[in-house]
Amino acid sequence: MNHVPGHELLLEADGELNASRTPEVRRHLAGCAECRRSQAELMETLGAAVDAQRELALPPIDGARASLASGLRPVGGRAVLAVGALAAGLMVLLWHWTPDRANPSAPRPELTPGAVQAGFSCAVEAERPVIANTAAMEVFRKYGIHDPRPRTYEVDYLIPPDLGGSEDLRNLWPQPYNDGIWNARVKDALEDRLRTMVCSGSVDLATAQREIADDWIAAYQKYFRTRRPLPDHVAFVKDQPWE
Amino acid sequence: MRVLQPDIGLVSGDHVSAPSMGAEVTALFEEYRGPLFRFLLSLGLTAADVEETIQEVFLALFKHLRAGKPRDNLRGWLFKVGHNQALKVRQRRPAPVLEMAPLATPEQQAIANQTRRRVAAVIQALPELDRACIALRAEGLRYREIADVLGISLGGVALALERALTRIRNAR
Repeated sequence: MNHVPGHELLLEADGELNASRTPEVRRHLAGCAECRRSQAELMETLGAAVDAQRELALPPIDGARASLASGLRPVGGRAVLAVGALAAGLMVLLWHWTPDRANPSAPRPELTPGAVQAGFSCAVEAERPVIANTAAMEVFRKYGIHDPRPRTYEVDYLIPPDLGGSEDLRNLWPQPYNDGIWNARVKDALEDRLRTMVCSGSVDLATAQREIADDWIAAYQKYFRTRRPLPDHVAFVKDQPWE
Repeated sequence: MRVLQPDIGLVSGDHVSAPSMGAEVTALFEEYRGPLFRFLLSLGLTAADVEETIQEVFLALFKHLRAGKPRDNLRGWLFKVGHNQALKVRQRRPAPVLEMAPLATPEQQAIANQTRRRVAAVIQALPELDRACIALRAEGLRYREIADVLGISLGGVALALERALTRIRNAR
């Protein structure tokens, strides 16, 4: 075999030579001091070039970072950036997550942590008891909603009975029907999806319960692989509104 | 009946909740601004144009992520979009001027020896493609990624690197 050309010596040393050529090149290198020396020289020069390249000084990042931040500022109210104060001469940026999911009426964990009960079964469609008016009013009271307009809310199970959720007040919250993109209809679609997945064995029940209780919007985004509600789901109707 | 309380981890569960896209873009900016800066300088952009180009790249990244587009190789994506953007910037400029590599601090200048300066000077004098390959290899990109960023073949990357290194070696 002739000597190995320089570009192949590089590929071999960088572990990028294709598999079919590698054995032959390695055999040659094992028996050819000249090629080994050439390869070592190339890699040594590469090391020097990498060092020189990486030593290029850059302008400070602060101004550029702030500039990017302002470029990412609200676009149609989708992204919100809070710029922190200057501390010890450093600009600290705090990001708040709002794009695609601004949802002021999300369940509040301290009021609605979620509650489950035993007896979940895939064989039987779980009953979804209508929430008693007294319970609904108590939920509204907890959330500081004093005069709820009929048909504007669904007093919803955070973890639905379909997924083992209970009627406990700690599992109930007032979800506006038409408030924002993450409304009750969209959550209903997620509930159906999760039950199907639990019953087909692709998600275990405890995970589904935890995810929907923790952050149902994140769960929706995860299981429907979308950042925003799918059009079909915006009009999805399963539960009756509170009247 | 069991009530799910935050302290048993059911409410504040451990699954990955939707990350802040803005925070993600910022984190990627922190990580890749330097590598992109050096690469774009190697394409003959001025430092000011480089800074502006990088801004455009990361705003494009934000849109890319928000649209739910592929995110399997964001590093490659950043360099590729940076490269395309840089070519556009250069079209607007009459004659690309390659800035001398700025030297770091006085201390670093003192430390930088003759050889290293010579290497930097030779790199700057390389043909653009060869210089870009060196710049991308220096940032740790795989040959396949470099080929993708520059729109050439993998073999072309290896040949360009060989040419560049031969020149650098001869000048040292």
